[in-house]
Amino acid sequence: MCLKIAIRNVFRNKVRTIITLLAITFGCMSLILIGGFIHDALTTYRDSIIYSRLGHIQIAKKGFFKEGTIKPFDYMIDNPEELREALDSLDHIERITPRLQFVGLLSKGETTFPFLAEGIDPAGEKSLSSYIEFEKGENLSKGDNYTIILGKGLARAIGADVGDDMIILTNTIEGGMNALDVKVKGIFYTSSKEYDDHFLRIPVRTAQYLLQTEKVQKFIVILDKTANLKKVTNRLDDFFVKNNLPLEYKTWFDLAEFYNKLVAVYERQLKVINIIIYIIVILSISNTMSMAIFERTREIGTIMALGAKRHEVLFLFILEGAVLGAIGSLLGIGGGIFFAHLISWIGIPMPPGPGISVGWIGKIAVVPAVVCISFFLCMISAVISSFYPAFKASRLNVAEALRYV
Amino acid sequence: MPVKVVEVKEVTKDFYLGKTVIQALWKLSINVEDGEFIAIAGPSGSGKTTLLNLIGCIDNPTSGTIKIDDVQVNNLSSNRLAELRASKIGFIFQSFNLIPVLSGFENVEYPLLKKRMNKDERKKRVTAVLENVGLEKFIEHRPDELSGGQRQRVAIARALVSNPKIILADEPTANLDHSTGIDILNLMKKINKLSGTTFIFSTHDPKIINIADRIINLFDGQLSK
Ligand SMILES: Nc1ncnc2c1ncn2[C@@H]1O[C@H](COP(=O)(O)OP(=O)(O)OP(=O)(O)O)[C@@H](O)[C@H]1O
Ligand SMILES: [Mg+2]
Repeated sequence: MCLKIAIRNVFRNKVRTIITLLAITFGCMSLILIGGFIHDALTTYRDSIIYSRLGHIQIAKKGFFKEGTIKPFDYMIDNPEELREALDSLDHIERITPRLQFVGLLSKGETTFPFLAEGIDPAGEKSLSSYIEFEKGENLSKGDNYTIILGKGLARAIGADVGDDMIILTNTIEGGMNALDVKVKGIFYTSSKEYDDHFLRIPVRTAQYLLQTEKVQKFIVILDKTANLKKVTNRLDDFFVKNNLPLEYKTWFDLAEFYNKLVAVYERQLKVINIIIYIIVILSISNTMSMAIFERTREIGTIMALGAKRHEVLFLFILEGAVLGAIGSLLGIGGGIFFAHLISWIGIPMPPGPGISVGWIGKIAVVPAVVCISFFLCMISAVISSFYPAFKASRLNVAEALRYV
Repeated sequence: MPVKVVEVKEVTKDFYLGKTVIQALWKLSINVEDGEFIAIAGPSGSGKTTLLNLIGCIDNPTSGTIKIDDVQVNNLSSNRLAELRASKIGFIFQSFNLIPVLSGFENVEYPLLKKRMNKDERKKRVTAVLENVGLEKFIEHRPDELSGGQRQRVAIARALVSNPKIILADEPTANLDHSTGIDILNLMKKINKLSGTTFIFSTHDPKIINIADRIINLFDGQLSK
């Protein structure tokens, strides 16, 4: 009955209610859309770093992650094939692929240029190369030897084209010099401009031959789902201990410094936007409730004369605020989900971010947690903002309220 | 032996408007016995509304004491006063003061919602009271769809529904035309005779004042004769 009265009162002044509902609906919808957009942007970015470079987990010899950049060949995995076969049997692991990084000089005719090279297994790269695009030529494939692919920036710097013959010059792991003729098979770009400016990729067998070794520096592990990360790392902990392996791992999350900074920045922005939206919701509801209470002074006097207690009047008006908030946020959820789908269907063309060389298509994810939080916070705002007007109503002097025309 | 339901003793009521003090009532004493049908008469500003508000426990006297049904009300908390009003006092207002979002039926039902009463009982009670005031039709209509006389009948039914000892009516006929006003007053009188409910109403219409059993004349906050 109280609820029935509250609902009827809410719709008493239709124009004012509609304006207030618009503010709440709009607020709740914005929360859902902005939250969903940021979630999608971060997921897209996360996947782009996982599937283009980092993988989900990287496994190396103990000490590599700390010292590897200074002494790249001091911490190598001794018998890579054995390890790979052992890891292959673990659940949720979709793919394991080696990495062997080294530096050297690349020359074509008169020009010579320093590079960073990544030795990879072309057969194992399938699910890792989803963010590698080719400007020209094609990717390395199974069985390729003495061929390389070049980052866009590196290729431009050295003036290389697909089909060119080049010479790679580098130190073997023992310290001697070694050189090799290779052919350019493709020119690629990724989401990271930095990578494209410095890196070339080479089949790991060729790299091992060049460096005179059987070893690799690390294995990159791709899982079936990013959500299974924790399960697999737990399994790995056991696995290393049980087999007494001198290995360690890092997850994509440990390695993606820039991603973590980006998340922090986005979260701060999101917080500011949320606060602004809550202020709008709170102001519009408290304004509406104040006006309603002002207009209904005599009615409040009447129900108090009839025996309504002060806290009952308080409750009545807070309930009205809550009803307003509930209707507004429910409409906001509906609108938010609708527009999230509509906008995702159309797609938002996004410019390349900092350190990223290609744009992407933004979508809006409907994140249940974001939807629930938006709904509850709008409801709480509604209750909070009707509290003060309702309190004023409950403190009215009955006789004076009844004199009010 | 007649029973006192209202005892007003040496009551003074001052209003403060900035620095000026308006003395609305001054050392006023009256007693009302159970079942009386009393009119409070007097010119505008003489203190009729103020007196009814004090008896109705919606305002406090500046000095003096008021007893309702042998309970001294001066020092009661606002919650206790609300309970007292809900159980012992019914109000009828000059401008009806029905709740606009509720139908006639629901307006009458409203005071019963807080009482422990099931839906059927409530419905029975509301229907009986509405019949009593001669309003069987139009009870599903909202107040703005009813005539003044019909609205005041709903208001009387609302005042009556919780079986109060006293019904207070501040100029119940002032917003009605003359003949409707007389009908309303006769209805109040009929209820008074049938159920023995005490009625205290104010008016400055000399033509309807004679329906009252007793007239209290106020002038400048004091009794006049
Ligand atoms: N809340 C208030 N604040 C200040 N003055 C008030 C207040 N209520 C009443 N008064 C004053 O007290 C005096 C008595 O007022 P009251 O309303 O009781 O008169 P009344 O007899 O009911 O008059 P009317 O016939 O016009 O309704 C008047 O001078 C009025 O201005
Ligand atoms: Mg008056």
